[in-house]
Amino acid sequence: MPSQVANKIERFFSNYPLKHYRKGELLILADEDPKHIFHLTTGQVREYDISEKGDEIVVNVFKPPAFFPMSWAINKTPNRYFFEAAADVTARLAPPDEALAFLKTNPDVMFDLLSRLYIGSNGLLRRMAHLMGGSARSRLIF
Amino acid sequence: MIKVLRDGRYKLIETRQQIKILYLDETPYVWLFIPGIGHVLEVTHKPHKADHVLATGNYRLYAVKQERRFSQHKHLELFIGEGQWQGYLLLTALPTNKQPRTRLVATDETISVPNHQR
Repeated sequence: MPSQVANKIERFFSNYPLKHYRKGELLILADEDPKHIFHLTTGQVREYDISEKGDEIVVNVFKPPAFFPMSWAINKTPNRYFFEAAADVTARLAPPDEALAFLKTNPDVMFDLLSRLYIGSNGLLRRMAHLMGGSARSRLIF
Repeated sequence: MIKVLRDGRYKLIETRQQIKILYLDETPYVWLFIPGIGHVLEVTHKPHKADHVLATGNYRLYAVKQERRFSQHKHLELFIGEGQWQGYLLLTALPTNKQPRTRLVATDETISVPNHQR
């Protein structure tokens, strides 16, 4: 992330309260409409689903300076996932409307988000291709 | 606040003497029904030989504080198959050597099952 963009994000979120979460705490429950956009300052957050077989399926791990859940904030798609602190976490909590307004008025931040989104979606496509047609080894690796 | 305290695999067995033992990972607890009190989990240090297995699967143990949707207790949830979990409220925490017994009460509240899967 370019330092200018990182500074802008940091500056925006620094207007909002810092909150601490202990390891294991659920920041967002599945099917819950989040009340905030979380900007991670320390720690890691796992985003996961619980399958029909009762297994936890991790779909994403957020590290600083990530902010989430943007899919819900932008598209208002229902949130299907649990967001759990994988370690002790500190995050700044901004109101979703204000975070969206910040994105819309800062094209460089929006572009950076888009860029990270493409990196993520490429990773997912690659993983999917290996799951559908790869060898047992590549399925394990991806 | 909802916190995942533990998760892992459970196994519920019954011995030849018809005593139910709940294993959370490797830790065994005796599962008793005491008339007038109800279901109780109790610490055990003896080895227990399974006559048969009643259930096995994943479990999740949550601590809940100040959440309007869920009771303020520890919630033990056992996966019972077909996307279903059975929840139990632990009226204290899991039993320990200091507090060797805990009442548990079955509940419909389940944190592990999102509404879209119900």
